[in-house]
Amino acid sequence: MYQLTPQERRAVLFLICLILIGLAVNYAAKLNSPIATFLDPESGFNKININRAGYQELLDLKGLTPSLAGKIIEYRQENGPFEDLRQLKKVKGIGERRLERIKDCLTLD
Amino acid sequence: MAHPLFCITIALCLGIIIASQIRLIFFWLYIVAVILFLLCIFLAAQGKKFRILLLLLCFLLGALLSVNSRSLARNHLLRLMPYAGKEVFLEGVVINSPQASFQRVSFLLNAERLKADNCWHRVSGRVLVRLSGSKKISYADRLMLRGRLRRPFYFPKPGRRNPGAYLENKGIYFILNVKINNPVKKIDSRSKGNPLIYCAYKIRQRLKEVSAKNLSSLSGSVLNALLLGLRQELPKDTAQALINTGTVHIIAISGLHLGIFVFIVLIFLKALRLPRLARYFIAIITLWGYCLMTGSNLPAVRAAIMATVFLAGLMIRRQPDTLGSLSLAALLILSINPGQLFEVSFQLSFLSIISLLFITPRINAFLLKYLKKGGRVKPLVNIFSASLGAWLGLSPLILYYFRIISPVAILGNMVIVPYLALVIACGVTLLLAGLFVPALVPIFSPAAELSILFLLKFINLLAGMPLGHFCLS
Repeated sequence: MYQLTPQERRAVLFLICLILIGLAVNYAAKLNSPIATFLDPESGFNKININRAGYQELLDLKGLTPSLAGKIIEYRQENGPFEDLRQLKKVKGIGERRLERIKDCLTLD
Repeated sequence: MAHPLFCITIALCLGIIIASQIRLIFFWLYIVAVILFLLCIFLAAQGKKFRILLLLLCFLLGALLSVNSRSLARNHLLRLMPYAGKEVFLEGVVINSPQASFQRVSFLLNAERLKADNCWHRVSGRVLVRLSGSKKISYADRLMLRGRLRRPFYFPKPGRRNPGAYLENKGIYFILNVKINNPVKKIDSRSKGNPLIYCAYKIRQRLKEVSAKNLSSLSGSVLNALLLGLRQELPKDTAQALINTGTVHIIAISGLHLGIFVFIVLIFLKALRLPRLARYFIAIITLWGYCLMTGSNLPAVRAAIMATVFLAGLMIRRQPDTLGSLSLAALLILSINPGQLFEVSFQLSFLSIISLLFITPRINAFLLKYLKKGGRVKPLVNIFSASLGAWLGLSPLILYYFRIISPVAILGNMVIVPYLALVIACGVTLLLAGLFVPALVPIFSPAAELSILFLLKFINLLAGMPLGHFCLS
């Protein structure tokens, strides 16, 4: 069996005390880590370019069905690029409410 | 009498092993640990009872550390996307030096934000990013990436380790594959990064350029692996020859490299006639700088902690305590990440030192007892004992993990380990000259080139020896 001097015992117990406090704080921080979900319309990176996006990319948009994605691409091919996001209302199946839902995730640039 | 730190380390390791096998609840475990801690305080004056309680407490601490390291934050990626496998946008900071190989860049990303299902989520967790193409990414860059996020799953092969478990031990639960056409946006550089690590990686890049400019591609790749920890650049046949001859440890930055490096630094500082305390202090700083530069892999950190304890002991004129410093290194590494206990590099690194401490002296004493002219052959017997002791200690583990046994390693390490000191000395001189006095490089580069070529020739000779190694799979 090992031997420890009184000073060494005190030092070991002090270190264990620090570890116990550190473990409690770390575990509590993990349990209470904030869950945040948000839309970020400021960052252009996460927006989908309606004039360049392919079928798969348009499907990433919540609120667009596969048939609507296909209709947007058809409209683009027939009439050229969109000049205004409100022009999307001319696509059959996209109304005012749906446009409101998806416009924050779209860009023309 | 047993070493106190060694006993505490063993108790901590047992706690980590038990906690990895049984499902334990943190709260109840913590309550028991606090009660034991209070008992230890009350019984601090008693001998045997205190010692037993302390070992029990260390066992519980090991279990607590293990449970805590496996518990995930509420916003961890794994909780948000337990199955994954879909295309996402991910924003985060690069936390290691990106490795480029075969038109692909790999690095670790500390995830901060994730976009899935049209919404951004604030997240935490590490992701291994594999980026197709040759994009210039540096440590501490804040990136926005688009790619497919998946769990590291591999089909199990008999006798092979599961790479998924290897990543999970390091706290990496996801791989992000970014295709060549997917956008990669650098939002910010040097954000949240450690300036010391940033400088260390910059110096490594400069040193890599020096070796690329002044050595042949083969010698340059060997020197980069030997001194800078860049093993990916080593040709496959050279790496295989090192594995077959049991000398692959020479390209893993560890105690051998750090020892030679510190020795060179101390000689240089002594030549400058600096006072003793200043010499050791500067050596410790340089040692950690070198450890950071080579990527702070586990054997290097272990060796750096041991060397720091050793040098600090010399500063206050204390006898070196190898077992104590080894235990301290294990305690520090396991406190930060208990999962390292199940890593092959951890097991090999610590077992090699334990073999040198416990097996080598017995072989040495046994051989010297039967050699009458012990005085003349003593250095040779010492080298042989060290090589045989390390081989005997590590062979079972190497056989289990890699299915290879290399008897030629005993002879190989007897020659290569002492010779490596010369190679490292030549390499360090060349790289430092390239960094500070480029005009001197043509004088030093032939010596470095020749020393590396001789090393490779000898390794290839050993690899070609009949019955030198046996593969079991």
